Amino acid sequence: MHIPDGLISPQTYLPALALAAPLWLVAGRRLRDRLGDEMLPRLAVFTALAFLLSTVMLPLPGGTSGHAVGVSLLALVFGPWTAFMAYSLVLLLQAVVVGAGGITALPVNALAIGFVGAWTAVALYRGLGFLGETPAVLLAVWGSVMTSALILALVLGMQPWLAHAPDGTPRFFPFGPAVTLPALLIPHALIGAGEAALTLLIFRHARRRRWLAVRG
Amino acid sequence: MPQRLRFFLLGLAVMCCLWVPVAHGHALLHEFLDGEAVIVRLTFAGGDESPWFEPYEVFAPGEETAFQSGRVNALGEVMFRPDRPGAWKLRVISADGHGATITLEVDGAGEVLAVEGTHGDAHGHWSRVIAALGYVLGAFGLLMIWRQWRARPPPAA
Repeated sequence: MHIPDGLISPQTYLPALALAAPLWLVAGRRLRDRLGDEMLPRLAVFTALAFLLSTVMLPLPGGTSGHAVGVSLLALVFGPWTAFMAYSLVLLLQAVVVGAGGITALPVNALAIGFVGAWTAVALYRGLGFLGETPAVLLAVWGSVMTSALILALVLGMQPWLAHAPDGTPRFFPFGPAVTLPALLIPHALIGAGEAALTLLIFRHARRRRWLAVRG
Repeated sequence: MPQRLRFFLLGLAVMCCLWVPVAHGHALLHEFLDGEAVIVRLTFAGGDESPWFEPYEVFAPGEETAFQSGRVNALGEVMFRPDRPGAWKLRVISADGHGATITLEVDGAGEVLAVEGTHGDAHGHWSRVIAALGYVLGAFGLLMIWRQWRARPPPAA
């Protein structure tokens, strides 16, 4: 889902950096205050799992492919601030080591997937708690994936309007929202469903082990 | 004008009129050329799938207007023939926000000397994934060592 370098304009990633930087600072401080010797190795393993989930490409109907996100699992187990920080590390390594995503696109990806995705998952899980744990987790994860996809589709779709040559030729991403919204939302509706099922299994395991930092 | 010459010119005029349909007034003509082309094969990371029929643009060195544009073929390949040496750019963008910009350093003979891509080449993807997993675990390991080092009791006076 994450956007690579070269597709979004400075008019997009510079304000995103200005917004993400203080959020990273707050998240870092909160993580430092909460981090204990028990939590740290668990967070390391869950972050590695989120990284792996975001790396494995899944074939989708229509000849395309996509990958899971993994941030909602981190958010439901460790809380949104910790998830935001850990997932920013995932995105950084994706960009630097694997070549997926990008450095200039990092603030946009971190905000859309790491921050909004994590907070959406936790908010939906808490808000839908009256439905019972299983539906709440499933809908929270699915809703988180779809919300992140929606934001990235809008960010991409705005690029032809934000940055174009005098003759109207887009300088960065060339497609508008009419193309980006279905292109991102339809595949991620399927990806989100698969990720929700997988997250539920791991979430139940984490609850039995009393690892959860988030209350429903 | 002699009679024979008059008949000759009349015959020539009739033949020219008959020739017109063969001349194809506004037709797009073609010829076959022998030459070398640059072929770039594209695959999505972590799989064999290619961005089939996704749009691409090729930019000549220093140019902002595309030298060539089109769609990736059914084999996931883009082909173009550079007409000058320098850094040629190939930009491929899919509608769901995936894409890559690849810079190809081309010499005077049209040979590619070096390739630099924002996403690197397709080989070694899983090696990089495993390396990155190591970095994730290693970063948290260093954090744990740092925490333990900070938490150690002060040396006895």
